[in-house]
Amino acid sequence: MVMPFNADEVFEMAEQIERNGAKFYRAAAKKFPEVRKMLSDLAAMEDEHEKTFAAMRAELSGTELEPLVFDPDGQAQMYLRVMADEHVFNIKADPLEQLAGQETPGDILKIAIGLEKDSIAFYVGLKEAVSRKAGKDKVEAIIKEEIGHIATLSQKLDTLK
Amino acid sequence: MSISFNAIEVFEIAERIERNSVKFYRRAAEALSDNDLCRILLSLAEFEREHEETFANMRKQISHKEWDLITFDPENEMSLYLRTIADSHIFDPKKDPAEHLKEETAEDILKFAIKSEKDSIIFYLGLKNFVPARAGKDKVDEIIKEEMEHIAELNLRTSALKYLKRISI
Repeated sequence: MVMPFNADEVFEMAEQIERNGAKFYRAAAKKFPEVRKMLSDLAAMEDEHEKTFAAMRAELSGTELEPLVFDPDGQAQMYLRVMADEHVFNIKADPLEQLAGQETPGDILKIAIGLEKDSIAFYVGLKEAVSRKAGKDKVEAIIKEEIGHIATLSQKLDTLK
Repeated sequence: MSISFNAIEVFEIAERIERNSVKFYRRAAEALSDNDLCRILLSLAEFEREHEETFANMRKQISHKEWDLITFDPENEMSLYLRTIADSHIFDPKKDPAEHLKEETAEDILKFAIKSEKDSIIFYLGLKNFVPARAGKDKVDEIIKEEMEHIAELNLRTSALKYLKRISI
């Protein structure tokens, strides 16, 4: 039996993902002037996402996620567990640790796309795990923005080729 | 290079992703000796085969007139997203998915399958934007949910394998 996450844990993970994302973008922005503006803008958007998740957590703190949804077999919970499992996707790890120091701007953008993909995969589960009342729409809006980030990163990557 | 996708292309990629998954699960089932795990992989292959059929039917249902209406994407954002996800999908469309099965352990196969299911989910999220409600936007949601269930199932099997490995030491 999988132990259910509580709201605190799951939103804390989402906040951590956003903090890591912002940290990564800021460190990369310092290093690469040719993509500085874009990466700084992305960092600022991740800051906003972190605030949104923190606000949602504050509202739900202490509540079990499970009663917020109809998830009788715990599938959404189990999906979130897999996404949070450091042996599979490692979304909680500091992405700066992935950098060897020899990366090109193109490499950085590819790593960023991978991080955004993993964030989206986690938020899809989060969206399933929270009710409309608990802010499903806000999670949906953040997913859309992360989709936009991938488009932005991809467009920039094309110009560097 | 044109970056915009039309809806037909998007559905064709989805069908290809599902075909690759079917092939991968069937070959993996042939390669493994654990009967219980084989049964699960074959059942996942069957799900993916049905998903491919669903996407193909949806593609056929939408008239050409509708394609332009539903692919309203003035900034090309969704096309860029879908192209990026398709290009980075763990199943390289130019390669046989069974190539990933060379000398892999059951755990490696399950981990690979989880990554592939995740890539499919994030592709279908974008695909949803190309589907009018009449043609079954909710069917895409159902497929996404089923892929999430597959990840949960694959993870359960991974935990079981790890447990068995631990107690056999």
